[in-house]
Amino acid sequence: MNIALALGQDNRAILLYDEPLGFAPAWIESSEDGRGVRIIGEEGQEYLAGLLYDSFFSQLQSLSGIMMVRMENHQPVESHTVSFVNQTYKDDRS
Amino acid sequence: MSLGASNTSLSAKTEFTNEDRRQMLNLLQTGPNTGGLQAMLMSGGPISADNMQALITKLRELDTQNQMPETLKDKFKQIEKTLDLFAQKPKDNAPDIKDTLADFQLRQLLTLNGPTGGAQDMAKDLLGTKMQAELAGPQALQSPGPLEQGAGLTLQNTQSGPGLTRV
Repeated sequence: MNIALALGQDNRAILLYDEPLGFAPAWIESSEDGRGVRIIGEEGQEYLAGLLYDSFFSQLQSLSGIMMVRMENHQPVESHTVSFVNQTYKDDRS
Repeated sequence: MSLGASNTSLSAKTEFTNEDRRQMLNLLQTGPNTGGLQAMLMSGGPISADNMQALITKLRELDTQNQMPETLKDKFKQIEKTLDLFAQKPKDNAPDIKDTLADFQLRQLLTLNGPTGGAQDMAKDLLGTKMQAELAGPQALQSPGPLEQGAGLTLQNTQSGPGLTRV
């Protein structure tokens, strides 16, 4: 699956993907502990969207929400607006 | 009934009274192969949209003697309206997305998974000519390329390398 994160000048963000996830997304998490950017489903599903280089985490700090848009045949066919949660478990999680 | 941004939150406990559930259970017990639906009805846990529709459909099928009270039938209709809204919502909204994003000014495109070209194509399709203009700019897009090309790569989800955080 192709997945991309488009960051806007006004701190809006769009997560683009091109295959059905198979579950309803509830929020998106990002962490610097190696677990990367993950899509969390309403029933606890977890999908690893990708890992980020350190330098790009700072650009996600101001995000509070992300619009998810699934593309199919060059057209948007599905969208979800979900919360974005910045997770860093540096102190209390191994 | 609560309807979230992308999914329904249904359960037999929140949608029906104890009396409703008792009547529905009695009706389900008259039909074959309804054990799963009976368990779902009595569990009180979350019920997916598909399962809720299956439950309603089965109860109507079994109600050959029209013994379900009108209030319960009305509840079924109301739930179905919401399920229909839920089912239609993503696709109905999708064509409007381009309008919603008409003023979106791309700052950066990060490839999370798949080839960078795939990410660019999706962004171009969604953001149209605005994306084309941004692509033409010198720093609008992090450059595509394999890990060996170094600083230009924004993301890598299959390999380890400098810049990647690991536990």
